[in-house]
Amino acid sequence: MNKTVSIHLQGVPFILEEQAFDRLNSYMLQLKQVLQKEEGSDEIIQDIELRMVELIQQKLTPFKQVVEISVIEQIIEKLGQPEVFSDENAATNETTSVAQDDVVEKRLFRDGDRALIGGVCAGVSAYFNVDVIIIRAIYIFTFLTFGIGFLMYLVLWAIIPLAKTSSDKLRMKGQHVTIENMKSELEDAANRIKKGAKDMEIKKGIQSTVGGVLRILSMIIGIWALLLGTGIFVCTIIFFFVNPNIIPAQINGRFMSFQDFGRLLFESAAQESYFNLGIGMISIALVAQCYLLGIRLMTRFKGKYLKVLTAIFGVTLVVGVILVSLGGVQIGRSMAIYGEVEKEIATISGTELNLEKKSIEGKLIKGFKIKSNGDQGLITVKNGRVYLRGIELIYTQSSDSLFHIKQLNDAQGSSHETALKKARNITCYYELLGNQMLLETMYSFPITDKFRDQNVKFTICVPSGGKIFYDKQQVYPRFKQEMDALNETYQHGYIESDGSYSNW
Amino acid sequence: MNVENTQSQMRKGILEYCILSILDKKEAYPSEILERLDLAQLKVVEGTIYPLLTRLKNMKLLEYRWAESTSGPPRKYYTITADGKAFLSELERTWTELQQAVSQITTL
Repeated sequence: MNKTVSIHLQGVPFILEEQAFDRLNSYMLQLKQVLQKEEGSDEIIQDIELRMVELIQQKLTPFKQVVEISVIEQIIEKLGQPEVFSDENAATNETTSVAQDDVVEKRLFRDGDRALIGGVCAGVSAYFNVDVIIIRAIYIFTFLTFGIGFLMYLVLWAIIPLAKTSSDKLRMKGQHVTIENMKSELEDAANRIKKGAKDMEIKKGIQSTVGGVLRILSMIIGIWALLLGTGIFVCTIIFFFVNPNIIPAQINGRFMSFQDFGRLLFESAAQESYFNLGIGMISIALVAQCYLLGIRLMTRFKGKYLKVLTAIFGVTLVVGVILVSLGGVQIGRSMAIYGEVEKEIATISGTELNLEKKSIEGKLIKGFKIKSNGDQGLITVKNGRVYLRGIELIYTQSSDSLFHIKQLNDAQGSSHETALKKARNITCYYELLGNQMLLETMYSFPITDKFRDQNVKFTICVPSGGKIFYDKQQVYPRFKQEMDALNETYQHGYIESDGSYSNW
Repeated sequence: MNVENTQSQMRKGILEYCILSILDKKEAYPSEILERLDLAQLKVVEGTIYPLLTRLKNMKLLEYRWAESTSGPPRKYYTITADGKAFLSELERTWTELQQAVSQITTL
């Protein structure tokens, strides 16, 4: 009983006795060394390998499938000792003597068999006898950190030859690596670049370059897809499980979370959970699709399962989008009808109306004057009520000699009733003192009303010759000539969330 | 230097001429060329012809094409080029001259 080794020569598989393999291997290595200096040595080796295939095939019968050492010896005798291969031009005593030393010189090749892109990592791993995963990890690390890995890879790809023949492959995995070897590798690489520039098979070169660039591109896209997928995954986890309070709006003295905000929008808890389910499905589907794309681009794996999974997560994505859109449609429907209510709140005589900001600002606390209490967020939720800021002022001409102040609330709902109810529910905070009106910039409504575009306006009917001041600044009438030219009878003002006044 | 070595040197010298002559008649792949040489009882170590073919090809005296084979890997069919033919006729002339010279010298 003998151990066998299976090899292939020029694409034809053979099973060799271990002894036969060793003999053939060392013969091929010697040949390579003899022919090293010969022009077109790869071609010669290829021719010889083709001949070997013929010779071995002649010796094999259906009952004798394993190549024995005797067969190899006969073939070598027929082909001749390595030194005869050296053509007279290059035949020097030096090369012959090297060949006879029977030294297995290890050389750096690209390993096409284990290649993801160009086989550089696989070849390097064979050269240093390290697992390819480690080399790839180092490469990806240099790629991600400095980006030089990318350039380095292209250079190595260009200068390291692909292990084409089986003897190349054997030498790629040869035994000895010394500083000397590595030095000669570099010299060889330099020569190859010079030579390659001269007699490269251009068409083949371009084809493999284009193919290679495509593979690199697909690797990069693949890495991005994986990173994107991971990003979406982390965001999803944060959204659903961490639910951080990061929306710059106050709820019961803290910042709002996404879900707090959702609760302000959705009519019912069921609606909200459908919407969240949709978001969840979209997220999972996107994560899965990114990973599937990444896996497909990074490896050459093309399984049936990938297709099935892609289809499944495609459906998940569509269902998720439908659920989220339904949520959107429901919110839209609950904001479809506009309702407005009006109430006259004051009648003031005189020619001047002074509007003032009603706030704690300017008050003294322990010798300090308050400049701002910092409570200027757009939305604040406190004690079951939602507080919004910003009040609109509308000036019109009064039909008599009095100032009339009307409060106008508007809101939206799914029906006239709900819209009007929500409008009525709005409270705003003002105080009337003679011809002075103190205004809060904020107004509120119950949280159960949800956020339905609630707004508060004050319509002020101004008698002829009447003037309105806000914080001692005259705000009406302004731009009189412009207003006359436009034949406008009213003007808008707006009190911003921070209490400053602006014209509309 | 023994007699075998000299013999092989002599054979090697004319091998180029023989190969070009074979290919001048019809295209052939290396094993066919070897067969022809063998048939003519010209003893060559097979290994010598491969570097020779490649060198001739690099000199643009030969060119080759790949052809599928029914029994194994694809075959490299070599053909002679126009340059090769010119080169061959030069060799033919030299060979005739040599032959005459040698026979004159040896028969004197």
